[in-house]
Amino acid sequence: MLKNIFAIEGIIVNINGEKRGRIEIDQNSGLIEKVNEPTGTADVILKDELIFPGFIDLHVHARECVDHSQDYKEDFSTASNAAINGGVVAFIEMPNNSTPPIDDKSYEAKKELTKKSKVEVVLYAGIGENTKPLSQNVPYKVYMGPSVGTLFFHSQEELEKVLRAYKGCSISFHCEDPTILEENKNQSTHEERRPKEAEMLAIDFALKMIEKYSLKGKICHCSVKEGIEKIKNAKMRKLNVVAEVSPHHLYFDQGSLSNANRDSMQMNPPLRTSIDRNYLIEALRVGTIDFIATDHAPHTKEEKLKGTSGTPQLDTYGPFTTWLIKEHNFTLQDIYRISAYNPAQFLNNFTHKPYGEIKEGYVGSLTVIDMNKPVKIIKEILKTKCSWSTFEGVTFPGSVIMTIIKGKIYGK
Amino acid sequence: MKHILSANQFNKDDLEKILARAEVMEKQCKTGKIEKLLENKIVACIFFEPSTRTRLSFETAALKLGAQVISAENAMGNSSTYKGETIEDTTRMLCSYADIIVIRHPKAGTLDLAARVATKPLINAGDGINQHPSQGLLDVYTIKKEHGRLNNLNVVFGGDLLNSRTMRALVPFLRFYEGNTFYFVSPKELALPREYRNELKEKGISFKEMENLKEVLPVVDVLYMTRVQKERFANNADYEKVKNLFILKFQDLKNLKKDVIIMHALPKVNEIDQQIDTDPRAAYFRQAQNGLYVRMALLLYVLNL
Repeated sequence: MLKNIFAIEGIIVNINGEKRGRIEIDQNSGLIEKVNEPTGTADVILKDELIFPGFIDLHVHARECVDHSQDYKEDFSTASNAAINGGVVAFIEMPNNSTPPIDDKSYEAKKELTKKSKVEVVLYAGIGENTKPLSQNVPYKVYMGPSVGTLFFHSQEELEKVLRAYKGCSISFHCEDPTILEENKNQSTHEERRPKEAEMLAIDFALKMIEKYSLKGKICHCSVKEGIEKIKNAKMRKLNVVAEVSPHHLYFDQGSLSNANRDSMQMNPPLRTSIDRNYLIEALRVGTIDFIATDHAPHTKEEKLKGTSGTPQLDTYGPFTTWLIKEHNFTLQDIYRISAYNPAQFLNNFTHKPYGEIKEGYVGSLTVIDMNKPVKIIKEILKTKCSWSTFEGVTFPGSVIMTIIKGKIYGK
Repeated sequence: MKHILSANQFNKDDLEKILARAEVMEKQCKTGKIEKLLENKIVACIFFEPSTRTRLSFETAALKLGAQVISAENAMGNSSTYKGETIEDTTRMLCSYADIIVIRHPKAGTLDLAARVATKPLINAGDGINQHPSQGLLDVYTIKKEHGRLNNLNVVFGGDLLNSRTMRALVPFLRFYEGNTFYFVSPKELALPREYRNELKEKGISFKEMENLKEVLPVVDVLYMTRVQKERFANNADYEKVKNLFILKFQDLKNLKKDVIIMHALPKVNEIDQQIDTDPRAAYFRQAQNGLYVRMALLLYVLNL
């Protein structure tokens, strides 16, 4: 078969550092054919821009569901546009739909919908009352307490009863304890209704379940210092656990809240103190937290005013990483690790071809960042269907100038 | 009654008994049902050199087993040694108070002098660059627990081997088992001392000496890191030349086997990237915890309990 080779030359960021090089991608297979010295002739020749292995987002809500009841705010096609806009080449999508994917049949039915996406999509299967593991190897998501949707549990006992069947599975935990949430439901602010104790207690319980049932555990959207300390101790005990943090929790804290933005900023878990936020940044730097995962949750502005939790974050993924570099002195290797390499170690369990490195045989999906080209986030440049962002008005120090998906350019 | 003075004093049988006992101790600690076998006993911890970790873990081990503890943590400055008392006299006095005596001393060979006059069991908690048997035992225990075996291992010691008593305390135990190969990787200024190299050769131990850590990473099963200290070099330029060869970086993890264990006697400063701490292969914090169980086993061993 005739090969269609796409060649790009520029500064390649890999685990060992940065080096000018040439990448050849076979557009038929979508895989990297060769990585070698630059020749001076290529389809794309870059100057100071940085080529990363494609960024991966392990926590996305695309909202499209087999009943299409929420297509008005996002679908797999628009979510993939937002992903490409943010430099994200693959994402794993959450199961809290009105018809949740919880068994082989509902999972396959939802998987059909993902064909509309331009980027690779893997689906989480939900865990709910009376569910069982699927026949194929998939990642699972469990909501301990009520958030968005109907997949949740009322108590730890109820959850453990179901989890027993999932021994050895890959399970991501939304950690907020239902009992503590219930006790605080009449408090006046979102932060008080979902106190940090709920997260800490739920993390304890998740870690216990991970150990007891030999799960491959992931703790979603960490927001509290004390919770991360627990994860750190568990990792040192060799527990099989990884942790996510969202740009929302890294960039904002309770000090960012005003009466004007309170509704749009609402997310579960809520924003915490600046002490927590600074700790999250350090934990991400030193590897206690493994990756950035956005928890992209595209609700409409009207829904936000009514109190729906979650914020759209895919469009701003790449620009946000440049803020970590400029404002918090993250190295390019740090970004490589938290946005590409580490999430790929998770994703690759569920894809046919591997992500996370610029190397022969790996998927030819790349993220190109220009550190010298700031971008101001405005409504007009967003691709998510819900068409707003908590980062509107923010100028990030660098931008995504090109996203390459399996050898095809999606430029700017 | 037995003394514990050196890793070289044990045979394979002794070692396996201690490891099995440590395993029992670990189980008892984890279930919270510890047999108080040292009730009414007094353990003295006398440290002529600072070491918070080793001292506290011996003291904890003693307390867990129901013993009481007397201790001097800065014995050089605050005890009669300061006034010129010999180690022999100090030991005689201690033996009249305590049932087990744990000693650390900066001078190599001091414990042997003490043992000549001791009427109660002595445990060497480190004597200069010479020996540190309880460290060696907790290291074997860690390797066994993490790898499930003590044979057919490629064991790399990286860093300062000239001054490493942890290395000296571990090698004698691992030679009881078949198929282990040792790689000693250090800058030449800090290579194995000649007499120790000769000793290894005489004993027929299979080992290689190298100057670059990176080359051995793909084959290693146990990577034991020690710190390369600036003060050990004649000048700054020599240090600058080699320092990065003995620092384990996050990107090195990629070149290591999936089931390698990274060990370190702690405290570590900059010889291991902080990002490695939470990797499952970083065993050093678990290693430190194992020290407690092994030291409990040793306190029982010296009293033939």
